[in-house]
Amino acid sequence: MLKIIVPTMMLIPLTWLSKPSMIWINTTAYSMLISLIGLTYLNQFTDNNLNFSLLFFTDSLSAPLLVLTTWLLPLMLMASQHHLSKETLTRKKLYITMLVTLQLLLIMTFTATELIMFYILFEATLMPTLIIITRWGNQTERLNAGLYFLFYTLVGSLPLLIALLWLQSNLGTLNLLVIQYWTQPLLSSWSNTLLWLACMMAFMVKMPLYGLHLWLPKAHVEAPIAGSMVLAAVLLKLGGYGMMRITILLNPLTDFMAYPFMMLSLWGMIMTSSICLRQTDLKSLIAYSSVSHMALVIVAVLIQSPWSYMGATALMIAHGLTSSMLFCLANSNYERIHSRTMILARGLQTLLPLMAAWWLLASLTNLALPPTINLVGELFVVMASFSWSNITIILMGINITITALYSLYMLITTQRGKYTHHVKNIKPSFTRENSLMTLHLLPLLLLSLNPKVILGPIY
Amino acid sequence: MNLFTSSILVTLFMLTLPIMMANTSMYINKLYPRYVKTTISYAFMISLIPTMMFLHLGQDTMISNWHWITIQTMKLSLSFKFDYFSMIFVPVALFVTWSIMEFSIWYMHSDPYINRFFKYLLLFLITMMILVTANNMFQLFIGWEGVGIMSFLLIGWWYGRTDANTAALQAILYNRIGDVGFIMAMAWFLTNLNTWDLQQIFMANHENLNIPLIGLLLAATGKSAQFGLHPWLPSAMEGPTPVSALLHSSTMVVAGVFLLIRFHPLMEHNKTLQTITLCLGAITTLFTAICALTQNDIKKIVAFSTSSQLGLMIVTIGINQPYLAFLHICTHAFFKAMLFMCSGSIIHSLNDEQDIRKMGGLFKALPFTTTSLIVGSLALTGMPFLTGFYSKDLIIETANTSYTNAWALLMTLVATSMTAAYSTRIMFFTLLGQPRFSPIITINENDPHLINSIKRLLFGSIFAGFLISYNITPTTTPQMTMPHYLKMMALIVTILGFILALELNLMMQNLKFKYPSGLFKFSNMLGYFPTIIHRLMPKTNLLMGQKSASTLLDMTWMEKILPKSISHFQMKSSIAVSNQKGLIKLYFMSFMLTLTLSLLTLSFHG
Repeated sequence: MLKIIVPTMMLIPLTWLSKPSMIWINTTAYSMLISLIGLTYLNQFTDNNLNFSLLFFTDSLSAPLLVLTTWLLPLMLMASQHHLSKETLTRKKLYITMLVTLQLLLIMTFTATELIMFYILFEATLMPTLIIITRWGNQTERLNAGLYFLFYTLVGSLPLLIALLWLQSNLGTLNLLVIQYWTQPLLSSWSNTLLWLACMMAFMVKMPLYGLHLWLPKAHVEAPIAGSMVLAAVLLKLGGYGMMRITILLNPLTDFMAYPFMMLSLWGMIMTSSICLRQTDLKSLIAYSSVSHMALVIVAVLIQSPWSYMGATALMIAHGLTSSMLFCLANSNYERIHSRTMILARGLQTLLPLMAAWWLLASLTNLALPPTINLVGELFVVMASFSWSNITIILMGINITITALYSLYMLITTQRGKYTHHVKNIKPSFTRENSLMTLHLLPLLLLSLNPKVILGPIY
Repeated sequence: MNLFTSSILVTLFMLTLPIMMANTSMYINKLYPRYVKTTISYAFMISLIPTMMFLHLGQDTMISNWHWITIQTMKLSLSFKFDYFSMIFVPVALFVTWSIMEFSIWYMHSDPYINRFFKYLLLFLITMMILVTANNMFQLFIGWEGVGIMSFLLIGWWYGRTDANTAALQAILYNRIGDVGFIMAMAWFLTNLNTWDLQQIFMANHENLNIPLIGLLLAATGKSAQFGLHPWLPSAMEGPTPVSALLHSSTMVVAGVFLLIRFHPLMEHNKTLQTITLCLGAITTLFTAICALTQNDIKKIVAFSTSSQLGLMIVTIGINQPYLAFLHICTHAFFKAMLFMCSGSIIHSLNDEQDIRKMGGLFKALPFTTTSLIVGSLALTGMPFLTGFYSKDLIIETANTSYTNAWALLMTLVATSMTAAYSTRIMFFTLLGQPRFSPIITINENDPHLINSIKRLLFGSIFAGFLISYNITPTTTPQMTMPHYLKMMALIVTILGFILALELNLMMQNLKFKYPSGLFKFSNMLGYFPTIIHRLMPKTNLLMGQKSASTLLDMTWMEKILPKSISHFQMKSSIAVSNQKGLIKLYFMSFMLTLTLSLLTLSFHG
């Protein structure tokens, strides 16, 4: 594990000691190399997990998320270049340091063996994110967004700390590898219900569950591009990952406790999708689409069948790459039009044809076109929920339809039609941007060839 | 035996070659469209080898290679099925596509992105091939969604036009509703049968197959534009004419019917579903035929006639005759694609004029197009010994002698008669009479690309039905004997439609234009369907999205309940418990008092 953590730490001195002209290239190249090291963990040759030390391990659930995290850092760096071009050198370096710190914490979160350590790191990721949002966001609302982000997450997760402490004193360990053998069945009682809620709510807020999602559109919209990318791609997945890890402690109570949350998610994904249909703000649309996709993951995790777990894992990875790519595209529009309003950036296909191709592919993956991994994820979740209850197919079906609609609505509004006059003298798309989109899309397409890598534990 | 599989794979592989070539300098070349066209023609010729072997030997083949994934006990692999349906449909589709590609070279020659257009058409063809040859539901779904997305891209080809974009989105919306049915069927098969392989599904012995079959029917309704989900097909005419000829007449829209044919072994013994299918098909064929009667846009008439024929195919499935429905798919492809190409030729010659009221007298100016249009229309109406006759007549006969729902069959007969009526109307308005178009237009149909492509389909429209029905082995026992009046019924209603329409047109042509009647408006406004459904439903949904989901819940209640109320109560309570009241004067006063008092006490102390 150190072979990822130490190089990631060394990215910080690399940033500060690089020549001013080289900071982006150096960090991007080295972080890309680091992500290549992580790829080996996708090969889970044992059925259980790979132990690195007493502190760190990966298994087939965390390895894809780990790779996603390391893969995303170079992409974030590439995406932020233009956004920071007017900042001073020190601030650029500080920004990169924040991103690197975040990546470091995320890597350790995904590989932590102890639940308390997981908790501490989980909380620690808030800090760099908060700084990125509130320091480098574009508008004054970023402060409000930062507050929402911090307090929603904290309020959700503090009960988890108490619950973990209680579990520690009760079970004697919080080691994830041991705990699954030592855990006692959780019978239905008021105190156990509270324990269940305490354990799950932290992740439900992070996911976010419909009703607790207010922080997400605000944070996504106000964050700078790298912040939006990492929030959508990785931070939301912490919730799903945590839920999958902690549900082993909470059986069989989950079967009973899941109902209200399932209902809320199933209903919420339709509500958030229909909000997407009415959005005028591009980033807000993408953010709401994240909420709607994550509702699927919540449903899948709560169903707790092998198919649903596979679907949830695949969907998390697929959505991570897709929504991150959509944010990048939105940002490339923003850098040209200087507005997030969709109607101001119409008809761009005429001016930026290659960018239109990326838009098309991103929208198609967002609406889960077969045989992309988005489809694999969504299909498995739909299968799992259908076998849980046949009626859910109606809600799922409505959601599938609306998802297709708003994805293509977004595509048509931004790319099709006649272009407006004020966009006539925009810059052409840079190689940096095109390669950024390629690097998002390549994993998506390649993983479709062998989705088994990201399906998590195949039972 | 080796020749069989290898030549099939060569056919399929060849189609991907121009796509791969799109990365090379070939794609910048002006000859790329011809290259694509030639590739498809070669693919067609090679595909004839396995088809002839199939016709001769009658062997089914299944190729299963490249294992994709195994989940629990379910294995998914790349698997092709070459049975009766795919073996006959592949050459037909390739033949039609070949002609359409050649036609597009002429029709799209002034388009700056003609190469991309050809790439899209070819991609569409590939997804269609995936659809028809798929041997498991996942692969079928890839093709199924693929044709949907390609139709979105191709309908929205002229992306500067709002109408084209709306039509493209509309097509996706209706298709997507159908896809939900498909996914539901997939989910049901997975949960109950644990397989997506077609053979294994067909072997299943489940007593109640209603849920998956309803799902499949919904899927077919969406893709094949059956009643309820039909409005996207006429709207899709916003796309270029080659697209209408390829996607919306001969290939993509029959995918729904094809799906039902594929899953027919499940439907065979399910009377409930058959009745539903029959009624759905009958309503569609009648309703769209009624709509076709009063349309003025030449492409819309042909589109509605396609919809009507699709309804007829669904009726055929409803009366438990999938092989006949399949035969109609094959024959229909020839003349319907040709009808679209003829209308394309007319539209192009008249400088993008689509209104049949502004045509007329074209039989002199466009003799070849006129010939083909008439042959195509006659074939469509089922004129004996043209292509359409071999399937349509059989369908009507079988329907007449079957003992199912008589009302549905009556509706089908009426629709058949109307087919003749609107065909007459097209011919009457565009070809006969005096020219009503602008005189400065130079009409020219003498382009080899146009002539050859239409000519090929013209031969197809005349002979293909005979060739196909002569060569295929009969799969179901045909009805051998029936009363005279039943035997002649199809022909009689068609001739009746012809004569009525001709008389009406001749009689009404010089009459004063009256304020249109309610019936006319019903037909002309497409049964008020788009007005009602396309206004009301999106408006309610969007309003709900805006008002209740976004404004009421997200921006008001959720803000108020959690963050706003918490901060509000915090503020209130902190004010309440604090001993600082902000009374500055009082504080200063007490401060001054203390100060003066202490000064006084200090000064008087000593």
